[in-house]
Amino acid sequence: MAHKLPSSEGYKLHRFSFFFVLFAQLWNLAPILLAAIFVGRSDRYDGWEIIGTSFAAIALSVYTLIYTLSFRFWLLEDEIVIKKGFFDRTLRHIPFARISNIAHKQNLLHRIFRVVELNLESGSGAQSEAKLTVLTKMQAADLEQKIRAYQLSVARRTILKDGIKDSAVSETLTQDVADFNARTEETLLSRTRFGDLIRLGLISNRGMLLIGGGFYFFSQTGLSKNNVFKAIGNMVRDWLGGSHGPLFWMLSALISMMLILAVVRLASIVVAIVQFYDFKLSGSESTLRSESGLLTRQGGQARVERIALIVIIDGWLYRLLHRQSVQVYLPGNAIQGDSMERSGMTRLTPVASPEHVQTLIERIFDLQISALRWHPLAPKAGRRMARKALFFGALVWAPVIVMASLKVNSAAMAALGCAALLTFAWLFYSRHKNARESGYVLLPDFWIIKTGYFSQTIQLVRRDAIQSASFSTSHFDRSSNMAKVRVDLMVGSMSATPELGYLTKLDAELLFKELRTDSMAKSQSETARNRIENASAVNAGA
Amino acid sequence: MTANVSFPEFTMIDPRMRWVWFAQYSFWLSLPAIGISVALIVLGFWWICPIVFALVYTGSFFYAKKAYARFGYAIAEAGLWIRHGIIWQAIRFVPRARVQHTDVVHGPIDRKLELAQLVVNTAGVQLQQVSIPGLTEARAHALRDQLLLLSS
Repeated sequence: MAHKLPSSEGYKLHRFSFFFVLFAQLWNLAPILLAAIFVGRSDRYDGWEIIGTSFAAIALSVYTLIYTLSFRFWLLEDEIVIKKGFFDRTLRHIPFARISNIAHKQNLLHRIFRVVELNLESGSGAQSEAKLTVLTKMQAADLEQKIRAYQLSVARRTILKDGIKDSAVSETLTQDVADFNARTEETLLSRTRFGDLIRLGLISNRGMLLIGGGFYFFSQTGLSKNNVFKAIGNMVRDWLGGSHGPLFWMLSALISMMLILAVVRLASIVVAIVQFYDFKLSGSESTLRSESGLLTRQGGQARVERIALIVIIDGWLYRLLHRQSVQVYLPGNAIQGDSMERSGMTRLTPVASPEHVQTLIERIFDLQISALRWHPLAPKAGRRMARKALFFGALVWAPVIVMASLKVNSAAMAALGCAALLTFAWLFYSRHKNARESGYVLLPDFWIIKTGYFSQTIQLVRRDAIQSASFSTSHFDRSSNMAKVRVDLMVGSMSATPELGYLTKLDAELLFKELRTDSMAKSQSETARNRIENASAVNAGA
Repeated sequence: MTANVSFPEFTMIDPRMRWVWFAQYSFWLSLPAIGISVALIVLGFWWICPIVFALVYTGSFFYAKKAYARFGYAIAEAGLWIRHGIIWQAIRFVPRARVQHTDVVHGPIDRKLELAQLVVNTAGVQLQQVSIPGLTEARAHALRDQLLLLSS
């Protein structure tokens, strides 16, 4: 691999790149600028703010102009070479074989100018390897196709070299690309309907963030959210003829809660539509591509074998509306900076019927979830889960009961006592149910974990993506002869850690042995395969 | 079904790590202890302060001793094993082929005691680092070489 600039001219970014990069930088600086305007506001005006801001804006614009004009990239046979920066020059070589995810972004502005932002992601770190802001759609498509063609060609060469000695080993890359084009006719695997997005809004709590933002806005602008609740109180008082008794408080609380719930659901529907409007998943033999969004079209493209973790999300609300959601985690599509969402391909479907989800999983990963025979948790798992939940439930209820006993009458105390008993009964039942419904299956390629019932997730962990395995026991585990197994993957999410506790110690030990032995064997074979890939890449380049 | 699970023979780290950990635990626990003591003095219960500090130092001492007894490592042909934890006990395995890079780190106390820490990094997310403290400089480098040599 050469570490100097290629002799050709290379590609430049689109001529409007300057505006997009500048806009992105201003967007990132927006909180600081807003803070400077609002926090630094004073009655004495001496013009320095204007001079300072103008100077900063000019400096930023000049820097951005130089940055975008000096940005070059070269598409070589097996890698992309990027030169960027003016004061601190960076020359980056990214082998095509290492690119695991190609994320593309098109917001309203991109769509007006018919350009696209591309992020090339490998498994290293949370940052993308290269950010190309912005390219024409044709340039982006060419780049994507070249990377995919190369990856398929190397995979084929490796298989042929590893397996039967075939004369096709000497096929040229051009032939491979032609073959690749013929074989990779993309078919539409999934498309989300508008009605499903409304269902997703009703299920998820995505609107909570919007509501939180709304409350912050109210508090900052002086408009009081309490006015709404006061209006509800006045309305209820009018209904009850001016009464301020227990009925007044109960009705007011009920209406307020219903209002909050309705607003949250409405906001969740809006967020679901904006984020997942016209979600499309298409795929060929080895790659998947997704895109969605009302204003900003976001999505990505990934090789199927690079998907390290698949999470099927289910729960009582999902079941009520007969829907499920499927998330995927790839090396490199980590949550970046302040972004709330991962970039690139993050879902196989945001919401779909369980039958459709089954079909998708079967078609892409050759797995029949409904036919799996789940290995259960330890027999006493439910009891331990319930004991833990009841302990924390008692911690919450005890002060409430004690405080209430000092202030309210016996009837209210009885009501509170009933509520506490109901809570405990629910905790006891739900934890036992969760334990009964949880379990795992160990397949040659996947470790599948099912946890919970009322809020259920099924994690499909690709075993060759396991980086390390851990076997742990708490004090309570040791006293009840249980243990927990956990694995670490090369995927960027703190929330998606594949782990399973409340296993019998024997099961946990066997599982740990299988996973570590397997990960070790797989990782060694993968390393060997990577070496062959790299060797093939060098040969192809030569 | 009979369990055929065997964990390797774990190697203990340098016994001076007990004092390193004791210094660390007692330092960090002293900070809230100072706050509590100030509050106790203001409230007139100054005589409880020595008890608070006695608890901090004896607690740190026994915790460090226990942590030392529990910590162990083993480099097998398959990979690196680490055993650690007192209340939450864990055994962790990192396959050799998953080792991305290693660091040999010396903290200020480590330097004083001529100790080193071997940090092994994987490409994972939650458990991307495992470290073996309480090694002599030569031992740390030897372990690193052993780990990297076999993984390559």
